[in-house]
Amino acid sequence: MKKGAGIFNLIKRIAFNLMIIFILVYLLFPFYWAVNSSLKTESQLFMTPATAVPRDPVTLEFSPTFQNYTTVLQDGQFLRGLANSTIVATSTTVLALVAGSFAAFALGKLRFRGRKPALYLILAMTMFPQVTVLTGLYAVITALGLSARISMIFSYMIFTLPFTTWVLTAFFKELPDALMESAQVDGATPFQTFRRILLPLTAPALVTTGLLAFIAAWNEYLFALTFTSIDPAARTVPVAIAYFTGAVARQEPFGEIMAAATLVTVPLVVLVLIFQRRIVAGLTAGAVKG
Amino acid sequence: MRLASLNLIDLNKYYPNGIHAVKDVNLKIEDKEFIVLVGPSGCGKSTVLRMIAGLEEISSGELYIDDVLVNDIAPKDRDIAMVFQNYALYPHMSIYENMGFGLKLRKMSKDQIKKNVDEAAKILGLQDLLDRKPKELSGGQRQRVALGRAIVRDPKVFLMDEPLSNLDAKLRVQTRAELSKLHLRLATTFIYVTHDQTEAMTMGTRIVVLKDGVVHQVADPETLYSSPVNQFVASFIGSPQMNFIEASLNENNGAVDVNFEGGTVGLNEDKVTQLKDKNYTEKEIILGIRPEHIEIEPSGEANKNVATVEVTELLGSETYLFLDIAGKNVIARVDPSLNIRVHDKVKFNFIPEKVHLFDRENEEALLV
Repeated sequence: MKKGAGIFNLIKRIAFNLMIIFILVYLLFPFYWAVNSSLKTESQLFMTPATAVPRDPVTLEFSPTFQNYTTVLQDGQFLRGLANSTIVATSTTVLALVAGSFAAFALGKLRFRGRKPALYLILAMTMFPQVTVLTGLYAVITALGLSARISMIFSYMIFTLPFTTWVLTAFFKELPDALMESAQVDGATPFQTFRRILLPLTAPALVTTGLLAFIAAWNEYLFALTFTSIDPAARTVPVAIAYFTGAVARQEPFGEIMAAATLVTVPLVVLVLIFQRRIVAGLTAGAVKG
Repeated sequence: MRLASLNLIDLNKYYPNGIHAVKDVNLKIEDKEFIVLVGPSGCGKSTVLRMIAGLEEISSGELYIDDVLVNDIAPKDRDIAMVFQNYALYPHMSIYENMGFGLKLRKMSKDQIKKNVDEAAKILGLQDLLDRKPKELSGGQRQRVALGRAIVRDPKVFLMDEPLSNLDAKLRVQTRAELSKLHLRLATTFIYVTHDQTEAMTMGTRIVVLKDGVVHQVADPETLYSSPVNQFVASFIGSPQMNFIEASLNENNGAVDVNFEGGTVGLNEDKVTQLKDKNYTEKEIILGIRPEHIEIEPSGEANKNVATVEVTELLGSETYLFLDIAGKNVIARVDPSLNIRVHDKVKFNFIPEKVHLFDRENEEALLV
């Protein structure tokens, strides 16, 4: 009996660890392969079978190259793309958080007619496939004469704002009503209550949703490609990478694309690391009564 | 000296879902009173308090604070402070900031804020905790911070919504006394909501008993205890609660007896006169008698007023006897030295002056 249970436990543990390994590989392999490829020269990339680390085609010695990175970092298009992406993603995030937290305060804490319908209307905004709104949006933007960067910022609200609003609404709802009432009796206006009492308490949620909004805006491709078609100077990083051209016609600069992709994820990783503790607090908030 | 009197005239609260939570409440509160609103849960006591605070809209009726109609005045302009049941401290602020928040919003100078907060902290013994965050404090300390936040504002009226219900029993008794002392020291009007009749009786200078949104009686603790106006108030105030027995009134040679299965009690002249005036002498009624107003004699040899002891509860200074009087359960409080045991037969005597009589239909008290 005892022995059987021991073996069963062992199998369970092995299965569990195998599962973890599978998930880790599944998540990390693309990133690893991007880094691996970015360190290879053109000829190394075409080696068969593909090597797990950059190796010299002849001697098979470990020989990485940073040529792709230097090329990418000297590429004006790419650097301008980085700047554009930073501007667009930051503005989108800030706007989405400001508007989203106002909306969430109202939707989560105030009583008014049409609260529920408003919530679902906001959610419905995200349900259209982006392609279907693209042409319409393009027409609107041209009619209004908006610049490409402004257009991107506003159109990214289509997917960032409903998301931030919904997550923050849930968060505001969980804050006790007594806090608001207490502030009210203390003499705070609704805006002061929002700004000085409720907003600081939602900081973890703000950070989490803000980061996710930033990532979504940073990686957006379809709108960016369309809206910058007449203004190449406004191209964001994903578009800039897509426009990479090789030294000769029809050459796909795979190594450089991978180097650019690796570089582009760096800001995101840095941001996540900075806010790491806040994110965990945000994801687990409400689990423990405080 | 700041005066704070309140006048509630025909206050009503209807909720959108059709619930009529507060019905025609009339109440005049004088300056420096410690008013306790008490009643079972859902009786509307918190709603009344929240209407006074301005957190709940008044559906109809008028609310005056110092002869100023405040129905449409925002909470912050009513000069009131409120202590919430779960304290509602701001978790991200230090105790000092928590207490000073209201003053800061009123644009008080930093020095003045510090002076007020320090003073309140001294009264409540919070001096050493001012830099801490609420989550680092114990329940009792948080409760005092909530009080402190109200004190620093120096409001006309203190509103408290079950402030002791989150404390453990021992701390609750202690805090009760502290609240009474605080009331004397601050000399302002307190309005206090609780479902606990002990809190009401121990702290209130006047008590308002509510049930189903209706005020049943407003009186000082002694009156409430000795002359409840109806069966509900009689049963709600006092612990263990008053015994109720179905009985009938019988006139007999000018005297009036209250007869019930298993016993009888003769009424004194004053009560007889009152009953005769009301023409109540030959009626079915409810007899009410508090446990402490039943006299017990150990030897129950007589054939009238005999009860069997079913359970005894010795509490040290007193003993509760759970009696069986012809099938009815009655609790009596006796001296432990009587040394009465379970299954004993005892003779009981309801003290005539302490007997309460209630109408069977409307449950109103028959005697004043």
